Amino acid sequence: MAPVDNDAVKNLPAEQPLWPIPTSFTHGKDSVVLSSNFAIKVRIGSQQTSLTSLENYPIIQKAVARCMDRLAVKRNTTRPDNSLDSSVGQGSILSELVITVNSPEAALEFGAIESYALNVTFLPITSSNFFAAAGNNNYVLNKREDEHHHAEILARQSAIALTGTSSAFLSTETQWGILHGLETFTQLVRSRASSSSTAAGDNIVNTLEVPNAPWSIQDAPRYSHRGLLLDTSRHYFPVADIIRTLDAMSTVKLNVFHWHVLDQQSYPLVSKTYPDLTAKGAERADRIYSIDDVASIIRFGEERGIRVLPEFDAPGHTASWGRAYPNITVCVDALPHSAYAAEPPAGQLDPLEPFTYSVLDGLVKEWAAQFPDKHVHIGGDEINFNCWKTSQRLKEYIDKPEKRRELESKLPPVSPEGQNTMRQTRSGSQSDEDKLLQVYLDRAIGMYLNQKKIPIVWEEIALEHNVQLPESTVVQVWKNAANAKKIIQQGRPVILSSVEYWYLDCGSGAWLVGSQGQSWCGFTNWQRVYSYSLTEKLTPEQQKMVYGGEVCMWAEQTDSSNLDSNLWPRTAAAAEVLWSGSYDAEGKSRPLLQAARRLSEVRERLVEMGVRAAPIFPSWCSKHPEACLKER
Amino acid sequence: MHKSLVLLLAVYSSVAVAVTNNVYICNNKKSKSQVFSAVDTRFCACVKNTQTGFIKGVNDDDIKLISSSDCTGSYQKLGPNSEAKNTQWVNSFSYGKSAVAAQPSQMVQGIPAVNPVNQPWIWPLPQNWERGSNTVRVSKSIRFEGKGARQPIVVKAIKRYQDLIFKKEDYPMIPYNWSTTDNKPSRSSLSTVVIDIKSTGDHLDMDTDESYTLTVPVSGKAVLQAETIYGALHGLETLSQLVQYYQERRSFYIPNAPWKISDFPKYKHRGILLDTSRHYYAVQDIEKIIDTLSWNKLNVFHWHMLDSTSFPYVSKKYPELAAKGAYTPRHVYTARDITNIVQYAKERGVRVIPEMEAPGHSTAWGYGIPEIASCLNTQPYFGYTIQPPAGQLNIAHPKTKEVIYSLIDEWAELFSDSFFHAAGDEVIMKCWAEDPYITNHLQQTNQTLIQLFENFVLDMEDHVRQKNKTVMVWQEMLLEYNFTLPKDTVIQVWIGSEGVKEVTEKGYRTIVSAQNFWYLDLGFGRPRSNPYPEVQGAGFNHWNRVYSYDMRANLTTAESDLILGAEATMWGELADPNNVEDRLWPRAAAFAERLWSGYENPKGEALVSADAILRLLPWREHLVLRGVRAGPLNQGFCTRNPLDCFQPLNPNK
Repeated sequence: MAPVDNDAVKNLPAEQPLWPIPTSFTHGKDSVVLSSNFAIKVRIGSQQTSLTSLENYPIIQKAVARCMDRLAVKRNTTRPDNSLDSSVGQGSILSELVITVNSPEAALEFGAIESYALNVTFLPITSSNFFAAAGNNNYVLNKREDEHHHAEILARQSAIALTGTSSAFLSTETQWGILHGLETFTQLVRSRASSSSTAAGDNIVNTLEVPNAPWSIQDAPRYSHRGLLLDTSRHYFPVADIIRTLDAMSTVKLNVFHWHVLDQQSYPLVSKTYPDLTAKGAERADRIYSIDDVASIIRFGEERGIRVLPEFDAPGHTASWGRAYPNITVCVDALPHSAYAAEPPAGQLDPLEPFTYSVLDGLVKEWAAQFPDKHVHIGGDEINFNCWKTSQRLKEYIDKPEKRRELESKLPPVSPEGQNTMRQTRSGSQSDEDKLLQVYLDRAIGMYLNQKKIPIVWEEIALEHNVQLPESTVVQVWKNAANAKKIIQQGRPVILSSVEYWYLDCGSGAWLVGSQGQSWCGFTNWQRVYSYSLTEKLTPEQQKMVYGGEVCMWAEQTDSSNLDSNLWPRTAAAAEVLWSGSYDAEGKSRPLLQAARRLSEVRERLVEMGVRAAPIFPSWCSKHPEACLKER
Repeated sequence: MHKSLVLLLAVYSSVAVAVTNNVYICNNKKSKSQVFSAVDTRFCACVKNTQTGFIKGVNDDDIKLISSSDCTGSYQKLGPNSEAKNTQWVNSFSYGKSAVAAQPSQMVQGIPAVNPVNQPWIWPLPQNWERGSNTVRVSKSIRFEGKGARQPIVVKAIKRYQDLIFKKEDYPMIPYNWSTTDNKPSRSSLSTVVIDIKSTGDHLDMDTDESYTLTVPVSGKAVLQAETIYGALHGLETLSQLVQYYQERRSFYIPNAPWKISDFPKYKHRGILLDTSRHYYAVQDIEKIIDTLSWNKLNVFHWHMLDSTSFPYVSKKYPELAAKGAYTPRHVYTARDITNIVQYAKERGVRVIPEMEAPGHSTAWGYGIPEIASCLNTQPYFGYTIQPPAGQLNIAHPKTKEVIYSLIDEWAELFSDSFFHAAGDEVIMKCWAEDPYITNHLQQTNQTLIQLFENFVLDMEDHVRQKNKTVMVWQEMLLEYNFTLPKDTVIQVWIGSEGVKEVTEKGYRTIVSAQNFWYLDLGFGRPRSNPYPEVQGAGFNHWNRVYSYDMRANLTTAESDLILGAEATMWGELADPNNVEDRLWPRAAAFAERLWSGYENPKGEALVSADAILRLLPWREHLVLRGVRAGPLNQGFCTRNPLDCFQPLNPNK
């Protein structure tokens, strides 16, 4: 799809602050009022399906139900979007949204088609639709039968009768497109206080309408991988927090929940095969994710078009594995931790211990069945060779090449799977340390490939080590934005999360030791988040290797208390970069002022759905963004 | 509400896929409702900051109404399709079809937690404390007796503390380290606390005696003695912090009895500034902050109510100021709201000091009464104001004085405190210098702009003094403009810590809010468009930076004696009720300990952050347990094992 046109963005009506901005859209100036019996109908292929028979398509069925529910909330909530003038009845009537979908059971995977086309037509009066519209006269609920009120309703009916009947169509290839299209439709609908609601006080019935019709929207994501990473090891987040986060993600069309579920501090993910991992490695008895919890999170995500991408960070960051099985880890709790790990407690998997691979093999099989996504993040960051050198056996392997064959012979053989696609990350010979890392990678990656999973690794594996990796391996960039190009030059696709832009945990001060200082990375406000150019300095060919990106919510200083305000609305800023791209056809960025105005509305929307999103400026600026955001 | 529910269901049933449960929350005025819905799964919803008057559920399952903010603790059941009234006490509820909340697993032992108790887990640390090695059970039906316990404010406090003392968490992140006290609890249990208060009055001001002594014997009655009821309130707070929940015994104990605590604050003025103009806070939000202040033994709520961005105060004489200057009709403070807040604070030993921000930062006044404003909303605003919108009071216009004196009169009555903040910060001369009304006036009266400005603020401050109030002003009045301020003026330092010296050198009393240490709103980028690298704005003040700042640095003893206390500030550009608690706590708690406990104990030993963190960690957990969304100090592992994480820095680096 062509890039978003900045001129069109400037003309987006202020009362419909769509976020993320659709790829292309046009609109008019007329108002379409949703009738009180407004309904959503679905056509699968060419076949008209009644809502009850949607049971075979639960994702569509639930999406429709959620959309109807949100419309009902708009109708019944006290904060009408009052920017509309209060005259009623200029619009034509919209009584249904008709959805057409070709492939209603498309897989939820990287590259799934998510595009949609949404049209809301405005039909002026004709003799044939006059009576249809006049018959549709119950859109204002008649609660008070007093005469005055009755007269008012009649007046409105005549106003409607003078207009016409509109229609709305949402056409998509897959059910995922329906989810995005319904979200956009919901954002188009505004509520307006009806006089009946203000008069009765306790009787809130707003009028729903789509202003600025006719609308024609064609939309598709710029990137297929649009994610948020949440670290649930450094602090535990209850399932309710994760579910609320997924819900918020779906409103800004994010589609990947990168679940950094395990880390050195705590092992909260319950395993059937090795229950002791959690029994001894979880930080607290109730801070665990049961098998049912995981299933419900995956299902909740799927219903919102969000892939749950698990990360099993290894061989570094694994002290918590060693609480149950001390012999699969080395240097656990070694002091000072800074010599052996980036953070306390130190500890890494032992790559020469046969039992390491027994445990890992059991876990990989279990995880593969538990998490349906084709991709799996296998970690690989911040591996510290000093940690491995504390073990006699590992030091011997590094120092004495002649012993290597013997030491390796005790390990399970390398799986043939994927061996033929292995490619070195750099030219030149491997260091002794990297040879040891390769022993681990060959076996671990083989296990994932055997389960038909495509591995994702952190950038160190590709940039700081000289190792063999399968050709399909995806690399996640975090240390700086410029590293993307280096990895793409290796021929590998990337997911971008540069700390300079998209680490949402930065800026709360250093948390270790007796520091009074600033964090190792600075706070990135929403404008900084929004300014991350995912394609900078990449050729058009190289740009195709950018799968997308993720904001990262590392949890050293975040828990349930402040999760929402750390995530939102900055995550929404990233979501627009990922869905709509950053530039127009001429390579110009979207106007920041216009984005601020819309983002401040997104923030209000999030607060209303129960997400404690932080403000982006004083309340006064919400009403006068141009005054606050004008450049000096 | 019933009628709209009927409508909602009518709309909804037309879809014929009803799997959703809805919960409606309304305040008593019914002007605000929130709808929560759940599909399939059971949720916990926190409604701590929601004004709940009644709650109604439309579903086929029970709703559990709970007073904690995270669905823990005891609950009241609300049946399907029924309604509960007077639900102000509800801070969270859970609802939905099936429970998916993490069920504690019997098999999980949890990674070890070793938290030292070298110092008692009391925040802020008392001046003098002695403890023993016995463990005393605390009776759930603990009684408070003595004449002091019958004083109305104390009666209310006892009611609160009978709940707060027994807050418990079944799986505490930081379990109390019972190995440090005798594991065999005494046979008798603590069931009576005698409260003895010397004075009978309830007057509260800066000089109120806040000291108390508390003794908890191994058997028999505990005794809380205080000069005033406000000292007794602090004693009750300390008592509540002595009590620990013993998970294995499913009961509450005081470890390390007998206790002898004798405590008093080092500084008299211990406050938080809250800016309710840049973002509005509902009365309940403010009350929750005041609660948390009192738990940290802070005693001043500095209410920065007005600023350029909005004028939420509904004046009796000039209602048009709020009518046009508030964000919406809902975003206002009426006289009644103020009276309620002042009373609420007083019952918690917290003074409320109003700040009448003038003549700078006052655009919002001009929406209601345009003639009293200069450079009102000048565009672009650069050069006319620090941040938008531009606008200062027209200091030459007679109407301005008329308005501001009336407001001072109204506030002098509403706010009973003897302190009154008359502001005077961040004035931009260009705003006035280009206002023809002002330039004409200067010509006619043959004075300079700075003279006019000085006369205006000194007259304003005099008017405050006439109401028997002590005047507080921002530091610019003295240090930037060198105005001849009476010596009884209290100068609030904010621009930087060096201002403390400059003010006290001149012999003025000061309240310290140095932004490089005690501004808690900084570090999150600037609100205005401001591309990188400037985007980081001023620095974030880490808890240890907050804790470590010594406001007496470079002062003589006589100069230090002029420090009345301090305030940590929560300016409102990037904070509102959604994130304010995380911004404030636990950093404002670190601040609070400095002000209460001081820099050394009475024996002259320094209080250091290496010890403080071991108590601040459990105190943060406790604040969360009491429903405050305090931010974490570090990862969970370090919370359980602070000595593994808080090690001395590598000396080689």
